Amino acid sequence: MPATTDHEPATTEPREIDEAWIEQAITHYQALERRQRDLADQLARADVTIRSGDGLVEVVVGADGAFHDVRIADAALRTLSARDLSRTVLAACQQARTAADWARQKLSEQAFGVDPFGG
Amino acid sequence: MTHDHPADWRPGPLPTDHLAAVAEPLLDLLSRTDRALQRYGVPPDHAASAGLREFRLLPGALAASITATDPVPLWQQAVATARRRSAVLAVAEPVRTDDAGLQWSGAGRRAYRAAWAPVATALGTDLPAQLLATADYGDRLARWYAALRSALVRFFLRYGTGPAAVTLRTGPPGDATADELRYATGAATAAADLAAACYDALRPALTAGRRLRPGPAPTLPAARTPDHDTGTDSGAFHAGHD
Repeated sequence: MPATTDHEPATTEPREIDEAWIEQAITHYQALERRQRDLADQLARADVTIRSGDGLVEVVVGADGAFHDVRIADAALRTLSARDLSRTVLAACQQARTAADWARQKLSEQAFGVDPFGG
Repeated sequence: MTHDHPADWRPGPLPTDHLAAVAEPLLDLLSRTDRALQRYGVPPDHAASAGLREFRLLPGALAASITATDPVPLWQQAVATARRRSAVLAVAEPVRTDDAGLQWSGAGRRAYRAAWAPVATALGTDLPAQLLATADYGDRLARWYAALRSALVRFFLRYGTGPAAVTLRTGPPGDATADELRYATGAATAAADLAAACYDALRPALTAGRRLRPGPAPTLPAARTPDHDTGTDSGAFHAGHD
């Protein structure tokens, strides 16, 4: 259903909805629901660890975007000022967020193809 | 029907139409609804399925056809037809009483009456009744369509800013990302909710439309050519039977 109707030109006459369309639409929804659950499971299991350039700060983020851990090496407390440490943690968090987005998209593509909606 | 309506009867004014004022955001919302149903499917056992079976159109396509149809021209034609009925009644009155002043009798008078009575009936009764039935039917059709448009407006005022509408308006673009996948079933449910609400809003008016039928109207006698007449060639229109 969506593989064809989603890409019909806007100028075509509206398609009459029949029983086959409805059955396909319900089947399609159920398939997406299963894929959502599978993706949620995979995202919950996948972690991404980002380390700052000086190796003093590590941030662990799930592929679903949830932060799981922030690890600061003892050396950071001795060598960095509070302001520099804050900047380093913030930069690592931003990189971790980007990495999580990338990981989420890759997991989705590996599991369900480029367009799970039939495009 | 003629007796229930005075000679100067006109269809009443149509209710004020607000659909044009909300058409753009309404059609935007319902086109998002159509797209979500097409792209993400329909949740099982959702009321939208019954509506889809009944209406056989997605709500956006249905709303677009209703929005594109203006009942005013039809209503104006109904008013014009009612005016013609008034004009016919006005000219028919002297025709109906035309033979009252005739000072003749016998076979000629009877023959004249036999020929004239159907003409007088057609002009004074049947034709105005048919015009009235046509005007009345046109007015009821226009009024029905106005009700359909009002139902669409009421749907939008009630649901246009609700949670389902917000879900569809704020979702990710259809770029097949993981975020879209996570959004998909929620969007499908929101779209199905809106579709069901739209069908519910339109159902009473559409059901009433299925009962719309032209009122009973007399059939006018067929025109006859002079060679079918019984001795007169005074006109092409000759009511009555051989």
